[in-house]
Amino acid sequence: MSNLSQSVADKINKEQIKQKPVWIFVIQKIFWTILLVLSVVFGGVSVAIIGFLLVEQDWVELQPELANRITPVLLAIPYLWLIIFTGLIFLSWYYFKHLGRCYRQPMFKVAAWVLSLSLVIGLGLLTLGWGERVNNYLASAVPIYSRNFDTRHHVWQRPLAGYISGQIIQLGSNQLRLAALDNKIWLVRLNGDTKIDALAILDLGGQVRVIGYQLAPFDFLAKEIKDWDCVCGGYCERCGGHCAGCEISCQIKESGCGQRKR
Amino acid sequence: MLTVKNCPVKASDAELVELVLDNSDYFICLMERYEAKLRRYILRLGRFSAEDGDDLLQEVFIKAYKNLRGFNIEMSFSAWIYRIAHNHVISQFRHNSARPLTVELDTNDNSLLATGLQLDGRIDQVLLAESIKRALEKLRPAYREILTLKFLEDRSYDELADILQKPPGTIATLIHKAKKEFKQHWTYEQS
Repeated sequence: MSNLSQSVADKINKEQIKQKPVWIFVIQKIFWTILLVLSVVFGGVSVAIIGFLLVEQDWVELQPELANRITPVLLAIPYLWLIIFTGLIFLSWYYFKHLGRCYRQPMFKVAAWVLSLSLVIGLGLLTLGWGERVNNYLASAVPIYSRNFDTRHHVWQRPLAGYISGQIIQLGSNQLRLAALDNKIWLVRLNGDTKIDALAILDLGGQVRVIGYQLAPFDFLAKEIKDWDCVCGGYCERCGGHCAGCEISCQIKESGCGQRKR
Repeated sequence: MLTVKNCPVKASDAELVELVLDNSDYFICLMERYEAKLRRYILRLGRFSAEDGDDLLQEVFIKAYKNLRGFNIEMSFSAWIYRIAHNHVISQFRHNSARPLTVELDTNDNSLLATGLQLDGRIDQVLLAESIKRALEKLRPAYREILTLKFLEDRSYDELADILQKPPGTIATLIHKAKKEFKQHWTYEQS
């Protein structure tokens, strides 16, 4: 017998080194499985939010611009969530590798499975309205999120392209002052051609979207004014959900409105 | 206490593991079976002195003993214990924040590599040994390691996948790239 094997055997006996019990390995396996499941589920939530942010864009209003430029599409892409989703796919693969001999599976195969599963879960959550709920919760609870990562805000903060939005802080007969989403104050002029959507309530504190032209810095001519939250057949953030008031007013305007339905 | 004389020589590794789980004294039989192989492997992976190599090997055996109940019966015990040795040596390198730049090979290693990598053996043996050593030293650590496991430790692709915890396809690609890079360095050394 070699000296080393003997000395290790002696050490094991002398120091009474014990084998780790089976339950430790079972718990390790459960731990990695839970992390894997969580990353797939969160991947699904990310898909649901990505879906919601894409669906909630005002594609109808953006159509004239879309005919010439791709900018609105680039602004509408929820990059943050795409990065999170990609990260979750990598995490899932990492957790998967720790389960038994799963490391033998090629990464692209695991990623394809996780992607498919997340898409199925995500589309289910989107249908159930969870993409919207989580996004709105984040927007209200984390101010930096709505300022920097809400893609709809980006799309409606482009005065040079003819799109601004914000809160009405002053009302005049043919003009109003708007605190834009970036907190800058704009003078919005209205003339006889300005179309005011029936759903838009021009009250102090009201949140509106304005389509028109920038005349000068912080001076805007409105061609069309629409409510920020309420769109025909849509979800009313102001009413706190699919509330009756919003839906009724939407229904009134349903004919000839042809807006998105969610 | 069990001595190596009582070890069931004909028992497979898996059967020995079963015996150890019932009676830990049998662990000495497993150690005896892998002591020489793992010592050689550890010394090939890094430029350790014989004493340091033995210290590392002792730690590897104790780690294996502690984790024996976590051994996955689907894989070979050989791959499992090589995996532990691999991880332990790598963490040792990380701890020392440096990988060895030199490689220690004996005559037998040289001929194994020359055969495995289909190198021209007609040249002078001393020159061949010297050029193999220098080419190996220039290889990136991951490539050096996979060539060591494949051609010096004679591990199968299946075992390599378990030791390095990578898909078999990746192992095949790694070996191909390592051979290619080795031959480039070797040809350069020859010229």
